[in-house]
Amino acid sequence: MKRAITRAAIVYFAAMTVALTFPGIQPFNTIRPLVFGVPFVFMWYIFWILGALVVFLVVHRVYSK
Amino acid sequence: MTDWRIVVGVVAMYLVANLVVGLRAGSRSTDTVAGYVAGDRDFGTLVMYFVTGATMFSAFAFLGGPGWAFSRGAAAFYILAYGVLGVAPYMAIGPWAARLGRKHGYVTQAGMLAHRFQSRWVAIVAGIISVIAIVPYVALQMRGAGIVFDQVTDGHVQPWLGAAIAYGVVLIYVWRSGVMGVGWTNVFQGVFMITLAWTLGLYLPYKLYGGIGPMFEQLEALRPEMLTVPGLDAQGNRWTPGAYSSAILVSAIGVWMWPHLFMKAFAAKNDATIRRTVMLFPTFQLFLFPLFVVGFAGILYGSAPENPDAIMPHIVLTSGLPAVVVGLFCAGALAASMSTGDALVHGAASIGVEDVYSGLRETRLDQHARRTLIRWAAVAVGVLGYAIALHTSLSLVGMLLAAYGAVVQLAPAVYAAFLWRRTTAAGVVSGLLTGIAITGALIVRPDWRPYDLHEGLVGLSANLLVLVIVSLLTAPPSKDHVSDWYRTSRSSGDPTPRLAER
Repeated sequence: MKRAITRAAIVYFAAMTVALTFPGIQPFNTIRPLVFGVPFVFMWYIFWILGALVVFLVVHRVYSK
Repeated sequence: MTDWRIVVGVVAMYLVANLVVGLRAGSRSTDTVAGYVAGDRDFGTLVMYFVTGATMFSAFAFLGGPGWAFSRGAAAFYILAYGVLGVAPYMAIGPWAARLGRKHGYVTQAGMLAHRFQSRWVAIVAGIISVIAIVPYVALQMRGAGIVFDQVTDGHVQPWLGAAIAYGVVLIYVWRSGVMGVGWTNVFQGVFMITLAWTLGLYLPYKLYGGIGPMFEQLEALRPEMLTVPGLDAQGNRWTPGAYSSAILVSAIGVWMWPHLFMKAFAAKNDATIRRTVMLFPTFQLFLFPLFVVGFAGILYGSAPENPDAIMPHIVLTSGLPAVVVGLFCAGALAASMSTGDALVHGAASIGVEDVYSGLRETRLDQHARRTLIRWAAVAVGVLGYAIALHTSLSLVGMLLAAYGAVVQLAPAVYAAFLWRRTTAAGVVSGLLTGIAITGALIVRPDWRPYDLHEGLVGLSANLLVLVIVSLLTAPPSKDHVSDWYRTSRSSGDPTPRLAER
C-alpha cells in the first residue's frame, strides 16, 4: 500500500512539473474562462496546489498507520 | 496623507511584541549547541508549520510578489509553482534526515553531509556555499524592511534606519533564544502576515474596482499580455519560456536545499511532525494568491511607485485606509521580512561555526564556547547583510533568484547522500566547486547562458555530471558506514534512540 501511494504521489508531482512549465502549460495558458473572476491560467496553478494538499494528506495518512 | 506617527506607533508595538515572544522562548531550551541550533529536537507541528511557511515566504513574497505581478504580470506565477513542488521530496527526506540527526547528533545540513561522506572538506565547502547564498538573502530581507519603513512613513524613517531597527530586534532575540526565538516569533509573524495578506488581497480590489472579477475584466481589456505566462521580463519585453520554466525548476530543486530550512528537520519532535508540516504547507502557500491580486490591482491604479517592489505599500498608503490599518500592513510586511531574516541569520551563524570554523580547526570547541561563537557570528552575518542591503539596486525577486543559483548546488550532494551509495567525498566536493564556478561565471556573463536558462540550472547539470564521474573514478566509501547510515535513515519506528549530543 505504502509503495503504491508513494508511486502515485511521484506521478502526481511529475505531472504537476510538466503542467506548470513550458511546453506543458501552453494548452492551459488562457485568460478565459474566468474562474470565480480570476484568469484561467492563474487558477490552473491554484488547482494544482490544492491537488497537492490532497496527495500530501493521503500520503501522511498511509504512513501514519 | 496618513499620519506617519500613528503608523510608527503601531509598528513599535508590533516590534515590542516580537521581542517579548522571542526573548521568552529562550527559556524553553537547554544551554547546549543542540538547544540553541536545533531547539533540543522538540518542535511540534504548530511551530514547524509556521517556521516552514513564514521562513519560505519572506519580504520577497510579501513585497516582491506583488511587485512582480504589477511590473511583470504572470511572470510572478513562477513563485506560485515552485513552493509545493519543492516541498514534496521533504515528505521522505525530512524524516530520513531527522532520524539520522537524532542518532548522530547533527544540527546542520553540512554536518550531516560531512558525516555521510566522512570528510570535513565536504562540510567546509558546503558550509561556505551555504553562507555565500544566505548573506544576499539576508540583505534582501533587510532591504524589504527598509522599503516598508520608508514608504509608510513618507520618508521620515529612511530605509537604512528602518532596516537597522527591525534587524536590531531580530539580533536581540536570536542572540538570547536561538532557534526557539526564531520558531515562536515565526508563529506570531506568520499569523500576522497571512491575516494581512488575505484581508488586503480581498478588500483592495473590491474597494478600487468593485471586486476581483471586474478588476481582471478591465485588465484583460487593457493589458492582456500581463495575464498569461511567461509574463514580461525586467525590461518590459515578453519573458522567454526557457527562463520562466528554469526559474521554476531551479527554485523547486533549491528551496529545501536552503540550509536554514533543511536543518529544521533536526529540530522536529518526530517524523509525523515533519509529514504533517509538509501536508499543511499548501495552505500556507495559498497566501500568495491575495498578494498577486494586489499586484495586479496596481497595474490599473492611477499612480505608480518608482520601485515596483513598493506597489503594495503605495496602494495601501494612497487608497484612503485608516492610519492604524496602514500600521498593521507595515507590521505584516515586517513580519514577512523578519520571519525569514531571523532564520537566515541564525542558520548562517550556526553553519559558519559548526561546519566551516570547526572543520578548519579540526579540534572541536566545547558546547559553551561554540554557542557563544554562534551568537557573535549571527551579529557578523547581520552586519554584513546590512552593508550589502545599503549598496544594492537589484529587485527583491531578482536578488533571490541569484541566491538560488548558489544554494541549488547543494542538491546533488544531498540527494546522492540518500539515494546513491557509491557517491564519494571527492565527487561531492568537485561537483560543488564546478557547479558554483559555472553559476558564478554565468552571473557575470549572462549572454553565455544556453536558451536563456537560469545560471543555477546550468551549474547544477555540470555539478551532477562531475559528481557522478569523479565518484566512479575514486575509491568507494566504507560499505559498513554507508549501510549503517542508510539503515538508520530508512528505519521505521519513531523516535530513533538519541545518542549524546556532540
